[in-house]
Amino acid sequence: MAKNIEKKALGTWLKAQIALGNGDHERAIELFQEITDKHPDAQRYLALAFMDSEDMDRSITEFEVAYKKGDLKALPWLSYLIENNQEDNPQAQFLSDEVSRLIAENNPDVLLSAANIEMVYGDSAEACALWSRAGKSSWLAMMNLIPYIIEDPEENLQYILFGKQAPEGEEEIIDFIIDFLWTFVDQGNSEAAVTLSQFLANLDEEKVAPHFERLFPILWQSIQDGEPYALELYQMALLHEVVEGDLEALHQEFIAYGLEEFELAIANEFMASLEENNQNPSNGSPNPIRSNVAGGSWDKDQYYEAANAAQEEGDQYAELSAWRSLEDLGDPNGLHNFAISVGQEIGLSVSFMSVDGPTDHAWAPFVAGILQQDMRPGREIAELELLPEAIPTANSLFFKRIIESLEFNFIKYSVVDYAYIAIPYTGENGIQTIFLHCATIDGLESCIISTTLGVDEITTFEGLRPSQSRTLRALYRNAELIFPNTMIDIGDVFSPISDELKPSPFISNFESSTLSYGRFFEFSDFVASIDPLASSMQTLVAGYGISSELSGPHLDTALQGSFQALIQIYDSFVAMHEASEDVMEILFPHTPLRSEVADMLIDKDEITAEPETLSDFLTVLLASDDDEQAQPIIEKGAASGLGELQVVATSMAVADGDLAKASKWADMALASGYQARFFGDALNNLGWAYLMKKDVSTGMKYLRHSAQQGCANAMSSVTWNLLEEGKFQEARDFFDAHYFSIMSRLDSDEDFAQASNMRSNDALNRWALGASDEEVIAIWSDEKFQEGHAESLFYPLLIQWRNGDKERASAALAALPAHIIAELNDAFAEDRKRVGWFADLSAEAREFLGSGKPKKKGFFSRS
Amino acid sequence: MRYIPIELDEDSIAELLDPAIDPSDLEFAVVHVNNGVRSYAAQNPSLTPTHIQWLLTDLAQVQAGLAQNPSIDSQTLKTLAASTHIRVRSNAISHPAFPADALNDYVGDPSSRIRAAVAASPHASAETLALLAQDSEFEVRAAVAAHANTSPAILSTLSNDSFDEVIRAIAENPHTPLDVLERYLNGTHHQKLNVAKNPSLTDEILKRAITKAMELTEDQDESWEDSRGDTSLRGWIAERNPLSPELISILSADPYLWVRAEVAKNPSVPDSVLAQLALDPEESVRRGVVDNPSASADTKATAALLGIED
Repeated sequence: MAKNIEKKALGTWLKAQIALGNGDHERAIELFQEITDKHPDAQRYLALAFMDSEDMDRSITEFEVAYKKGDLKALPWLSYLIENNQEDNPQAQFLSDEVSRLIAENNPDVLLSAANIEMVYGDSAEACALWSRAGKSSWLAMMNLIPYIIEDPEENLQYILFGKQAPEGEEEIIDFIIDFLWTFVDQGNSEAAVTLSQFLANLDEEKVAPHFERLFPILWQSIQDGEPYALELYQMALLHEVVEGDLEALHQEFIAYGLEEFELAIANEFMASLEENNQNPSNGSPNPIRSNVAGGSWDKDQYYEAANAAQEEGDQYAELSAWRSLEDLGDPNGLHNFAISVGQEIGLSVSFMSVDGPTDHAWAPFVAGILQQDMRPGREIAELELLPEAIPTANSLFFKRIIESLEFNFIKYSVVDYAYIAIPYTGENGIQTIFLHCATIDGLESCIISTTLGVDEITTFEGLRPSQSRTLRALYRNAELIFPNTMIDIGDVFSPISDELKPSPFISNFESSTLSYGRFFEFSDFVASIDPLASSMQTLVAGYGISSELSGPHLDTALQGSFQALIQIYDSFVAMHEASEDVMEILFPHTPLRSEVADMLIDKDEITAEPETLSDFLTVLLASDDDEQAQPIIEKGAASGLGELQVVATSMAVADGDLAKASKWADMALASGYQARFFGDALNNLGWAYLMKKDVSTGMKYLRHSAQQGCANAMSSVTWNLLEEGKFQEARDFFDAHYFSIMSRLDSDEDFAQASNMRSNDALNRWALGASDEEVIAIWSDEKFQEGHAESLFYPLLIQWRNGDKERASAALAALPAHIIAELNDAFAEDRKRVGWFADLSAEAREFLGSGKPKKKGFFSRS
Repeated sequence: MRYIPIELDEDSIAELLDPAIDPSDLEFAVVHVNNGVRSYAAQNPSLTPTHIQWLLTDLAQVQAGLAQNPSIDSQTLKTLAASTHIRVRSNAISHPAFPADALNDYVGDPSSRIRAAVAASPHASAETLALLAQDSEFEVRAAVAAHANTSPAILSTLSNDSFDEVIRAIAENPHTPLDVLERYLNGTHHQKLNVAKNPSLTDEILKRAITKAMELTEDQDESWEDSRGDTSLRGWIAERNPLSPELISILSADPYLWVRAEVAKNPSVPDSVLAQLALDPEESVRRGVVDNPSASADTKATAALLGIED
């Protein structure tokens, strides 16, 4: 049948079928109309398309035309639609009778459509029975049955037995289906061949290999003979190298069928599957799609045609893919048109003068940058072969100048080795790292500043494509210029460095089995450089080379301008990826390397060098009482200056109530000089645990250490305890020595609350040592420091009461909330052990608190 | 107590630096958890000795702020000058209260940032500056070029330096010899820009420069009409404050409207001249008069009569 139809019409037929399958009725109708005189089924499918678009009258008209042309498959549909939509149609009865008659005669065409109607509007079992009645002579009926048989062979295999004995067991059933399909294939049915291939694709490779050997030559022959159904399957088979074949010859067939955009879409689908599944198509051989482009299998005109056709189809992915491929063939209109299409999508219009629309859109810098490149191309960006393990180091003087510049400008950094610096930065997308290497490039000393934009797990190293270089150039320009989209470029982040000494931008796309990156623990100076991957990766890097001729303020500007630009380029890259992963993947397969992605790249062998991971590991060991394994890790941590391990061990031991062990770890960390705010909390808990056991001396020892580490809670405890013991001056001296370091490191609500408490305690110690009422009242009354602190409200009233203004003081006390009074009653309870001045004050406080109690009302109202 | 954030903007920074800040507010800022807040608070002249002792134990960023505090004493500065942090040392050494006799210890420092700090100190002697004028690093030479104690001879030598930063400092230094200043007035665009407001320039030199600036430049012809000549230089001269009556007279009659507009904006121009400019046909000139604090109410009203757009 198909051999009598010209290939272009068959291509249109296929496109129409796909449009119909995708629900694009309008496009399907348009395409079917083009070939109603060229393809015998087109008229009926046109009617089906109208039916799907719910234009029933038009559908009936078209089915009638098809029926009159002799297409009996149209008859059941025509009858069904008239019966259900045109009750008064005089033909209704005749058509219905005719359908019944032909079904009774087992007419395969009528049975097929009657079954299809049953499937859509009725019962699937009845549909299967009708398809079966159509028999082997109706491939379409059999094709419709196959999915039901595969889904439930025990129930549905009966429909294709045709007198044969039913197979038993999975193997037999599979062989039966294969043999069944082969009968159609052997009759020259290419659709059956496609169905068979799809069925085989889900089976064991060993089993299917001999079938594929036979099938693919048949598929290829059918394509050449005018049956396009196998085009997609055959192309995918070639791309995946399942079979050997000639991509160029296949390409000519796509052209003959007018299906170039399909070819491109399939190719893109293949690329996406590769990227998704991390499949390496061959051992080092070039990627077939890319070689197709690079090798010029398609010329520029074909990409133009494919892009325009995809645009008409509304398939933006295919359109953008074609424009990108055109660019990579060396036609600058490729990325230009790409940018126009993206610009239209996001509502951005760009002229030489201005950029209008959503300029804050993630893709705006790309669109504006590409469309303005003709007039303002931005700086040349070198492509550098950047192999970190091969970079030589520069002399130490330049390195010292760089360190000095970072320090002078208070930029946090870590020196990994004597010529390798890591700088963490927090961009819009989390924490990333910028690396500085000192290097000699082309005989000149330089500093290379770089950051990783993304990684790609595909290991085929190809360097950067023209479209990628040009995209990055646009992003660089946007990041460097102060007002990148104005008519005149007004300075850049490197002003006032002379042009010849401005940092030189570079991009690099290298394959490496080593990916170095830094991990930072609480922004401390800890950095680990590790080799996280056993397999190789493609890494996309953006960077600058900085001349060693720069010094002083010019070096500062060069470094800071580079940081600023690289952060912006990275953020743009991530934002574009987030705004449209699909569009970004057409340009870059690289996934932005975020900190959480970096976390996943840790090599398990490096576990002993990772403090954070080690802490987690240690926690697990301690939680499971595995002291035998835990102890050497804690000790090793101590030897490596990783004091946090002892802190973790201390906290765990306190939680377990094993104070002896907790003291051991805490003392080890204290002896090593370890300083950290969270160590203060651990020591505070330890100190309190001893106080609870009435070991005041040991408890106070750890509380003092805790306060020295910045814990406000511990300072409150120490100063209160000394107050109770009458050691006012000692309390004051300790407070003064550590007050500032505690206050400037408060980091939780509890810390701030305790800061008020310790200040209040200090006011009491001052008072005890003779400070005036005014002085201490000023401390308690300072809202900024004492807001919400119950005792700070109380003591000024106590002073007022002591000074004779008892009535007003008591009234004010009575107005305090009940929970505050309860807190105060607890603080000055009689059972507290206190000596001297504070014991006396506590007695006065109790008396005052008693005076503030609301008077008990009588049983009867006096009013 | 709860965390009260202080966002660092122009207003909050001005408050943190204000000597009249409430003492309790100052203490709150001095112990604030934000390093930037403490860094600015450290520059407040009203810090107590206790505050200073606290801040001396703080991060380098905060100590660097303390080293810029105008009321800090020389002993504290000597302590800060011994810091391991380059910025703290640099700020301490360039501080006006840093002892003059201690400067010599840093003249030969290996870091150009420290040598530049010595050259920026008001106590740097002519001899020290002469030595540092030969420094290989431009930032040191630029500090020498800006210094009031640098001799005219050294300034003259440095006037041919290859770095813009040095040239700018020479151009702005009132002690630079007049012949150098006049050379700059006839020099590059940047030289003219930086030298035009040097207070040492005489009317005679400026008049010669204005006369030359009226001539057609190399890329101009007669079609340039009112905008002929170096209008930028004439405009920069018109911005000088004070501006002599003779120069006011010349520049208020300048053919180029933007030069007259600069004269109209200049607070050193008397009301009598502004009254004439109030009748200028160009709105930009009249706008300058309206915005000029030296213009009388009548003059401003006259300027507005001919129309000024909001």
